[in-house]
Amino acid sequence: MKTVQSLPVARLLQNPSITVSGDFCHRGGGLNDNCKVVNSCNGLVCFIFCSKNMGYHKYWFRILNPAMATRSKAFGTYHDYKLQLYGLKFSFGSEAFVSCDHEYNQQRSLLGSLKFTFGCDILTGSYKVVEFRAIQDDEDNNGLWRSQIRVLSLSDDCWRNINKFSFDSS
Amino acid sequence: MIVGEILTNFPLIPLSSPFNNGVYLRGTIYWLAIQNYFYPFYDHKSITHVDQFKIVSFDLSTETYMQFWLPFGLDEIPCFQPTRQVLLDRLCFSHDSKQTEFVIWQMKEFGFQESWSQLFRVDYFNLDIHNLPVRRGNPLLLPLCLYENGDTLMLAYRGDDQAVIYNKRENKVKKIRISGKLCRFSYVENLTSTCWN
Repeated sequence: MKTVQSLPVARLLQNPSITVSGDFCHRGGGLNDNCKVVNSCNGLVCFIFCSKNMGYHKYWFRILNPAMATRSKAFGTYHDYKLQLYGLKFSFGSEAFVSCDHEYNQQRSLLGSLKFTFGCDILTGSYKVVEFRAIQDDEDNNGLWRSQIRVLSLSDDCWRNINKFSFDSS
Repeated sequence: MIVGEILTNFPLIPLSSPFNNGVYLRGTIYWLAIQNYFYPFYDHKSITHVDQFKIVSFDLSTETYMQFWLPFGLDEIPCFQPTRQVLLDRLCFSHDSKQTEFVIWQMKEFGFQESWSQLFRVDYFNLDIHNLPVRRGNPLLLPLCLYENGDTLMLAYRGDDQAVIYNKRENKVKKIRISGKLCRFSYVENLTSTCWN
Protein backbone atom coordinates (compact mmCIF):
# COMPACT_ATOMS: atom_id res chain seq x y z
CA MET A 1 0.00 0.00 0.00
CA LYS A 2 1.60 3.23 -1.14
CA THR A 3 -0.97 5.80 0.01
CA VAL A 4 0.51 8.33 2.38
CA GLN A 5 -1.72 10.14 4.82
CA SER A 6 -0.37 13.39 6.15
CA LEU A 7 -0.38 13.99 9.87
CA PRO A 8 -0.76 17.63 10.90
CA VAL A 9 1.99 18.82 13.20
CA ALA A 10 -0.63 20.33 15.52
CA ARG A 11 -1.86 16.81 16.22
CA LEU A 12 1.66 15.67 16.91
CA LEU A 13 2.10 18.47 19.39
CA GLN A 14 -1.18 17.69 21.16
CA ASN A 15 -0.34 14.04 21.38
CA PRO A 16 3.41 13.82 21.12
CA SER A 17 4.11 10.39 22.52
CA ILE A 18 3.72 6.93 21.11
CA THR A 19 3.84 4.42 23.90
CA VAL A 20 5.96 1.42 23.16
CA SER A 21 5.07 -1.34 25.55
CA GLY A 22 7.61 -2.77 27.94
CA ASP A 23 7.10 -6.14 26.36
CA PHE A 24 8.15 -4.74 23.03
CA CYS A 25 11.31 -3.25 24.48
CA HIS A 26 12.40 -6.01 26.78
CA ARG A 27 11.52 -9.11 24.88
CA GLY A 28 14.66 -11.19 24.96
CA GLY A 29 15.47 -9.93 28.44
CA GLY A 30 18.78 -9.06 30.00
CA LEU A 31 19.83 -6.03 31.98
CA ASN A 32 22.04 -4.69 29.23
CA ASP A 33 19.33 -4.71 26.62
CA ASN A 34 18.73 -1.46 24.84
CA CYS A 35 16.14 -0.32 22.41
CA LYS A 36 16.16 2.82 20.31
CA VAL A 37 14.43 4.31 17.33
CA VAL A 38 16.56 4.23 14.18
CA ASN A 39 14.24 6.36 12.07
CA SER A 40 10.89 6.31 10.36
CA CYS A 41 10.04 5.78 6.69
CA ASN A 42 6.60 5.40 5.04
CA GLY A 43 4.83 5.25 8.37
CA LEU A 44 7.07 2.46 9.63
CA VAL A 45 9.29 3.02 12.65
CA CYS A 46 12.48 0.99 12.79
CA PHE A 47 13.81 0.01 16.22
CA ILE A 48 17.19 -1.40 17.05
CA PHE A 49 17.85 -3.62 20.04
CA CYS A 50 21.28 -4.29 21.44
CA SER A 51 22.58 -6.60 24.10
CA LYS A 52 26.15 -6.55 25.30
CA ASN A 53 27.59 -9.95 26.03
CA MET A 54 30.98 -11.38 26.92
CA GLY A 55 33.16 -10.58 23.93
CA TYR A 56 30.46 -9.49 21.56
CA HIS A 57 27.45 -7.27 20.97
CA LYS A 58 24.28 -8.71 19.59
CA TYR A 59 21.86 -6.45 17.79
CA TRP A 60 18.65 -6.92 15.90
CA PHE A 61 15.74 -4.90 14.56
CA ARG A 62 11.99 -4.71 14.55
CA ILE A 63 9.63 -2.57 12.50
CA LEU A 64 6.57 -1.05 14.11
CA ASN A 65 3.59 0.53 12.40
CA PRO A 66 2.03 2.66 15.16
CA ALA A 67 -1.05 3.49 13.04
CA MET A 68 -1.81 -0.18 12.49
CA ALA A 69 -0.51 -1.29 15.90
CA THR A 70 1.48 -4.03 14.20
CA ARG A 71 5.11 -5.01 14.44
CA SER A 72 7.44 -7.21 12.48
CA LYS A 73 9.29 -10.20 13.78
CA ALA A 74 12.92 -9.63 14.75
CA PHE A 75 15.29 -9.45 11.80
CA GLY A 76 18.88 -8.59 10.91
CA THR A 77 20.24 -10.30 14.02
CA TYR A 78 24.00 -9.86 14.10
CA HIS A 79 26.69 -10.93 16.54
CA ASP A 80 29.45 -8.36 16.38
CA TYR A 81 32.79 -9.47 17.79
CA LYS A 82 34.81 -6.59 16.38
CA LEU A 83 33.10 -3.76 18.19
CA GLN A 84 35.01 -4.26 21.45
CA LEU A 85 38.18 -5.19 19.62
CA TYR A 86 38.32 -1.73 18.12
CA GLY A 87 37.10 -0.07 21.29
CA LEU A 88 34.04 1.25 19.50
CA LYS A 89 31.08 2.53 21.37
CA PHE A 90 27.77 1.14 20.40
CA SER A 91 26.22 4.46 19.58
CA PHE A 92 23.03 4.30 17.63
CA GLY A 93 19.56 5.66 17.25
CA SER A 94 18.21 9.06 16.41
CA GLU A 95 19.52 12.38 17.48
CA ALA A 96 19.37 13.35 21.09
CA PHE A 97 20.46 16.29 23.13
CA VAL A 98 21.95 15.44 26.47
CA SER A 99 22.78 18.30 28.74
CA CYS A 100 24.80 16.36 31.32
CA ASP A 101 28.47 17.25 31.18
CA HIS A 102 29.79 13.74 31.68
CA GLU A 103 28.10 12.60 28.53
CA TYR A 104 29.48 15.50 26.58
CA ASN A 105 32.59 13.82 25.25
CA GLN A 106 30.69 10.75 24.28
CA GLN A 107 28.21 12.88 22.41
CA ARG A 108 30.88 14.74 20.51
CA SER A 109 32.44 11.71 18.92
CA LEU A 110 32.35 11.95 15.14
CA LEU A 111 33.88 8.65 14.21
CA GLY A 112 34.25 5.23 15.67
CA SER A 113 30.64 4.32 16.12
CA LEU A 114 28.00 2.29 14.38
CA LYS A 115 25.20 4.12 12.69
CA PHE A 116 22.05 2.76 11.12
CA THR A 117 19.54 4.26 8.74
CA PHE A 118 16.30 2.66 7.62
CA GLY A 119 14.80 3.34 4.20
CA CYS A 120 12.96 2.07 1.18
CA ASP A 121 14.37 0.96 -2.16
CA ILE A 122 11.86 2.82 -4.30
CA LEU A 123 12.49 0.70 -7.41
CA THR A 124 11.60 -2.61 -5.80
CA GLY A 125 9.61 -1.37 -2.79
CA SER A 126 11.79 -3.41 -0.45
CA TYR A 127 12.96 -1.97 2.85
CA LYS A 128 16.61 -1.84 3.80
CA VAL A 129 18.73 -0.99 6.81
CA VAL A 130 22.12 0.56 6.09
CA GLU A 131 24.90 0.21 8.63
CA PHE A 132 27.77 2.64 8.54
CA ARG A 133 30.96 2.29 10.54
CA ALA A 134 34.30 4.07 10.46
CA ILE A 135 37.18 2.33 12.18
CA GLN A 136 40.85 3.04 12.58
CA ASP A 137 42.65 -0.19 11.91
CA ASP A 138 46.21 0.00 13.23
CA GLU A 139 47.21 -3.60 12.58
CA ASP A 140 46.52 -3.75 8.89
CA ASN A 141 46.62 -0.22 7.69
CA ASN A 142 48.93 1.80 9.89
CA GLY A 143 46.35 4.20 11.19
CA LEU A 144 44.21 4.43 8.12
CA TRP A 145 40.54 5.05 8.66
CA ARG A 146 38.37 2.51 7.01
CA SER A 147 34.75 3.01 6.42
CA GLN A 148 32.36 0.21 5.81
CA ILE A 149 28.80 0.13 4.59
CA ARG A 150 26.64 -2.92 5.04
CA VAL A 151 23.11 -3.26 3.74
CA LEU A 152 20.42 -5.47 5.16
CA SER A 153 17.50 -6.11 2.85
CA LEU A 154 14.33 -7.11 4.62
CA SER A 155 13.34 -9.22 1.62
CA ASP A 156 16.07 -11.78 2.35
CA ASP A 157 17.11 -10.79 5.91
CA CYS A 158 20.76 -10.88 4.89
CA TRP A 159 23.63 -8.45 5.55
CA ARG A 160 25.81 -7.61 2.55
CA ASN A 161 29.05 -5.62 2.44
CA ILE A 162 28.80 -2.87 -0.14
CA ASN A 163 32.21 -1.33 -0.18
CA LYS A 164 35.40 -0.97 1.72
CA PHE A 165 37.15 2.28 1.28
CA SER A 166 40.14 3.75 2.98
CA PHE A 167 41.79 7.10 3.14
CA ASP A 168 45.22 8.17 4.27
CA SER A 169 44.99 10.07 7.54
CA SER A 170 48.59 11.26 7.60
CA MET B 1 22.85 22.21 -13.80
CA ILE B 2 25.56 20.53 -11.82
CA VAL B 3 24.47 17.06 -10.76
CA GLY B 4 26.24 15.30 -7.92
CA GLU B 5 29.37 13.44 -8.82
CA ILE B 6 29.26 9.64 -8.77
CA LEU B 7 31.77 8.11 -6.39
CA THR B 8 33.29 4.85 -7.45
CA ASN B 9 35.69 4.62 -4.55
CA PHE B 10 34.31 6.26 -1.46
CA PRO B 11 37.01 8.77 -0.44
CA LEU B 12 35.01 10.49 2.29
CA ILE B 13 34.15 9.30 5.73
CA PRO B 14 30.74 10.57 6.76
CA LEU B 15 30.24 12.02 10.20
CA SER B 16 28.51 9.61 12.49
CA SER B 17 27.94 11.79 15.52
CA PRO B 18 24.59 11.52 17.28
CA PHE B 19 23.57 14.65 15.38
CA ASN B 20 24.77 13.65 11.96
CA ASN B 21 23.63 10.16 11.31
CA GLY B 22 22.35 9.36 7.82
CA VAL B 23 18.95 10.76 6.87
CA TYR B 24 16.54 9.04 4.50
CA LEU B 25 14.77 10.90 1.71
CA ARG B 26 13.06 9.38 -1.34
CA GLY B 27 15.02 6.19 -1.72
CA THR B 28 18.36 7.74 -0.78
CA ILE B 29 20.38 8.11 2.43
CA TYR B 30 22.39 11.28 2.96
CA TRP B 31 25.34 11.85 5.25
CA LEU B 32 27.36 14.93 6.02
CA ALA B 33 31.08 14.34 5.53
CA ILE B 34 34.28 16.31 6.04
CA GLN B 35 37.03 15.45 3.60
CA ASN B 36 40.55 14.89 4.96
CA TYR B 37 39.34 15.18 8.52
CA PHE B 38 40.11 12.41 10.96
CA TYR B 39 39.79 13.94 14.38
CA PRO B 40 37.43 12.15 16.69
CA PHE B 41 35.62 15.39 17.55
CA TYR B 42 34.34 18.35 15.61
CA ASP B 43 36.87 21.17 15.91
CA HIS B 44 36.34 24.02 13.49
CA LYS B 45 39.96 25.16 13.84
CA SER B 46 41.17 21.88 12.38
CA ILE B 47 39.16 22.34 9.19
CA THR B 48 41.00 24.52 6.75
CA HIS B 49 38.48 25.09 3.99
CA VAL B 50 34.69 25.01 3.60
CA ASP B 51 35.15 22.84 0.50
CA GLN B 52 36.02 19.99 2.87
CA PHE B 53 32.32 19.72 3.77
CA LYS B 54 30.41 17.41 1.46
CA ILE B 55 27.09 15.65 1.34
CA VAL B 56 27.45 11.96 0.51
CA SER B 57 24.43 10.07 -0.74
CA PHE B 58 23.74 6.37 -1.02
CA ASP B 59 20.99 5.23 -3.39
CA LEU B 60 19.17 2.25 -1.87
CA SER B 61 18.13 0.93 -5.30
CA THR B 62 21.42 1.11 -7.20
CA GLU B 63 23.55 0.91 -4.04
CA THR B 64 25.92 3.56 -5.37
CA TYR B 65 27.37 6.66 -3.76
CA MET B 66 27.37 10.26 -4.93
CA GLN B 67 28.80 13.42 -3.45
CA PHE B 68 27.38 16.93 -3.43
CA TRP B 69 28.83 20.28 -2.57
CA LEU B 70 27.28 22.30 0.17
CA PRO B 71 25.76 25.70 -0.64
CA PHE B 72 28.25 28.10 -2.22
CA GLY B 73 26.96 30.70 0.25
CA LEU B 74 28.70 28.86 3.08
CA ASP B 75 31.76 31.05 3.35
CA GLU B 76 33.34 30.16 6.66
CA ILE B 77 33.84 27.10 8.85
CA PRO B 78 31.01 27.03 11.39
CA CYS B 79 32.35 26.84 14.93
CA PHE B 80 29.42 24.65 16.00
CA GLN B 81 29.03 21.35 14.20
CA PRO B 82 26.74 21.90 11.19
CA THR B 83 23.96 19.37 10.59
CA ARG B 84 21.85 18.01 7.76
CA GLN B 85 18.17 17.14 8.04
CA VAL B 86 15.04 16.58 6.05
CA LEU B 87 12.50 19.37 6.39
CA LEU B 88 9.28 19.52 4.35
CA ASP B 89 10.45 16.55 2.31
CA ARG B 90 13.63 18.25 1.18
CA LEU B 91 17.27 17.88 2.13
CA CYS B 92 18.44 20.75 4.33
CA PHE B 93 21.74 21.87 5.78
CA SER B 94 21.99 24.11 8.82
CA HIS B 95 24.89 25.92 10.44
CA ASP B 96 25.98 28.71 12.73
CA SER B 97 27.17 31.90 11.11
CA LYS B 98 29.70 34.06 12.93
CA GLN B 99 28.21 33.07 16.29
CA THR B 100 25.41 35.52 15.69
CA GLU B 101 22.99 33.82 13.31
CA PHE B 102 21.54 30.44 12.51
CA VAL B 103 21.17 29.57 8.83
CA ILE B 104 19.21 26.79 7.10
CA TRP B 105 19.66 25.92 3.43
CA GLN B 106 17.32 23.75 1.40
CA MET B 107 18.14 21.75 -1.72
CA LYS B 108 15.14 22.77 -3.81
CA GLU B 109 15.62 20.37 -6.68
CA PHE B 110 16.37 16.88 -5.64
CA GLY B 111 19.99 16.03 -6.43
CA PHE B 112 20.93 19.39 -7.96
CA GLN B 113 23.55 21.11 -5.88
CA GLU B 114 22.99 24.41 -7.67
CA SER B 115 19.51 24.52 -6.22
CA TRP B 116 20.59 25.15 -2.61
CA SER B 117 18.64 28.13 -1.41
CA GLN B 118 18.50 29.87 1.91
CA LEU B 119 15.40 28.95 3.87
CA PHE B 120 16.07 30.66 7.22
CA ARG B 121 18.59 33.15 8.47
CA VAL B 122 17.75 34.20 11.97
CA ASP B 123 19.65 36.09 14.61
CA TYR B 124 20.19 34.21 17.90
CA PHE B 125 18.77 37.28 19.61
CA ASN B 126 15.46 36.71 17.80
CA LEU B 127 15.51 33.09 18.97
CA ASP B 128 15.85 34.37 22.54
CA ILE B 129 19.33 32.82 22.80
CA HIS B 130 21.69 35.25 24.47
CA ASN B 131 24.60 33.29 25.90
CA LEU B 132 26.29 30.82 23.60
CA PRO B 133 27.85 27.74 25.23
CA VAL B 134 31.62 27.86 25.64
CA ARG B 135 32.02 24.31 24.38
CA ARG B 136 31.68 24.44 20.66
CA GLY B 137 31.95 20.90 19.28
CA ASN B 138 28.28 19.94 19.24
CA PRO B 139 25.61 21.71 17.24
CA LEU B 140 23.93 24.60 19.03
CA LEU B 141 20.54 24.09 17.43
CA LEU B 142 18.95 21.15 15.65
CA PRO B 143 16.02 21.89 13.35
CA LEU B 144 13.31 19.34 14.18
CA CYS B 145 10.46 20.25 11.87
CA LEU B 146 9.05 22.95 9.70
CA TYR B 147 5.31 23.52 9.46
CA GLU B 148 2.57 26.11 8.78
CA ASN B 149 3.61 26.61 5.15
CA GLY B 150 7.24 26.65 6.14
CA ASP B 151 6.81 29.70 8.37
CA THR B 152 7.24 27.95 11.69
CA LEU B 153 10.34 26.11 12.68
CA MET B 154 10.84 23.89 15.69
CA LEU B 155 14.41 23.52 16.92
CA ALA B 156 16.07 21.68 19.75
CA TYR B 157 18.40 23.98 21.67
CA ARG B 158 21.43 22.50 23.35
CA GLY B 159 21.83 25.05 26.11
CA ASP B 160 19.08 24.23 28.53
CA ASP B 161 16.87 21.34 27.43
CA GLN B 162 14.51 23.48 25.48
CA ALA B 163 12.74 23.27 22.20
CA VAL B 164 12.47 26.59 20.42
CA ILE B 165 9.48 27.35 18.20
CA TYR B 166 10.09 30.24 15.87
CA ASN B 167 7.60 31.86 13.52
CA LYS B 168 9.34 33.63 10.69
CA ARG B 169 6.35 35.67 9.52
CA GLU B 170 5.61 37.16 12.94
CA ASN B 171 9.21 36.96 14.17
CA LYS B 172 7.92 35.38 17.38
CA VAL B 173 9.65 32.81 19.52
CA LYS B 174 8.29 30.39 22.08
CA LYS B 175 10.26 27.97 24.22
CA ILE B 176 9.07 24.59 25.44
CA ARG B 177 10.84 22.82 28.24
CA ILE B 178 11.76 19.26 27.42
CA SER B 179 12.91 16.64 29.86
CA GLY B 180 16.41 15.23 29.50
CA LYS B 181 16.82 13.56 26.18
CA LEU B 182 14.94 14.67 23.13
CA CYS B 183 14.66 11.87 20.63
CA ARG B 184 13.25 13.05 17.36
CA PHE B 185 12.21 11.54 14.11
CA SER B 186 9.60 12.57 11.60
CA TYR B 187 6.70 10.21 11.23
CA VAL B 188 3.79 10.16 8.80
CA GLU B 189 0.96 7.68 9.33
CA ASN B 190 0.69 4.99 6.68
CA LEU B 191 -0.91 1.57 6.32
CA THR B 192 2.29 -0.19 5.28
CA SER B 193 2.40 -3.80 6.37
CA THR B 194 5.02 -5.02 8.81
CA CYS B 195 5.07 -8.56 7.43
CA TRP B 196 7.92 -9.68 5.21
CA ASN B 197 8.78 -13.13 4.01
